[in-house]
Amino acid sequence: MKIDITTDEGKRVLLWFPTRLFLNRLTVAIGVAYINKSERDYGVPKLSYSQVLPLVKEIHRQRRIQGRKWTLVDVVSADGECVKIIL
Amino acid sequence: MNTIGKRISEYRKKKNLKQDELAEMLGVSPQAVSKWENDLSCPDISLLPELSRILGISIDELVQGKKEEPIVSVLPEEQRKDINKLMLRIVVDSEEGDRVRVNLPMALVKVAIETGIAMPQINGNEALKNIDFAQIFTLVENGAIGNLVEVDSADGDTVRIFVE
Repeated sequence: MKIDITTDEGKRVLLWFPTRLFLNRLTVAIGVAYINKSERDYGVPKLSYSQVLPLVKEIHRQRRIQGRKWTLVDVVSADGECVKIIL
Repeated sequence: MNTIGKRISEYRKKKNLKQDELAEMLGVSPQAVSKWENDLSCPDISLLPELSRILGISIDELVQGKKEEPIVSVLPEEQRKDINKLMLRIVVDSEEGDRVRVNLPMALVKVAIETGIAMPQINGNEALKNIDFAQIFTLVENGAIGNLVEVDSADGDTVRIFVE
């Protein structure tokens, strides 16, 4: 996983993370528990481990298919800051 | 760089027209057409509808070089791509100037639908709550590609969902 951040001043920060470190059974369990715990505060509907795990498996499969050049999210703010998440 | 003059020249040749023939059809001198094609001047705005009609292109394509693409098209079965190779793109342009692009492979959307995950569960965005991804998936399965959803909200935000 690559997180590419470009600030409005043109500075670029590139962060590389092993995707499997962030997206695995353990982190899914922790993430789901955290989301469900904070459901009261943010009003996000509940998620279950069995819902998210197939999604994570598919993300890993798609990473292989897309040739690791899959830009999942690309956000450009009005003031010129840019954040890209490339899987 | 592709200029309006180059486009006039290119499409005139495609139509097998000579400069003086085009000039006669438009009621201008052949020198005027030559000047347009050499980017020394531009056709008068009142001539654009007739010029684009003669050249068989839209005014947008003539002036900006942009082809008008169909908003949505339904492909016949033999032309359809494997659904797993299609990408669902969500484009959000806010009024403040923020731009968000999300690219989701259709296979991932399929898994999300099968497991019952709804969009607000992923991003907490209530505005996307009423967008039925199962319905979009069915459309794509039946060969629809292109701009499937376009929403302009009251506060100026635009949400577009397209498949390619």
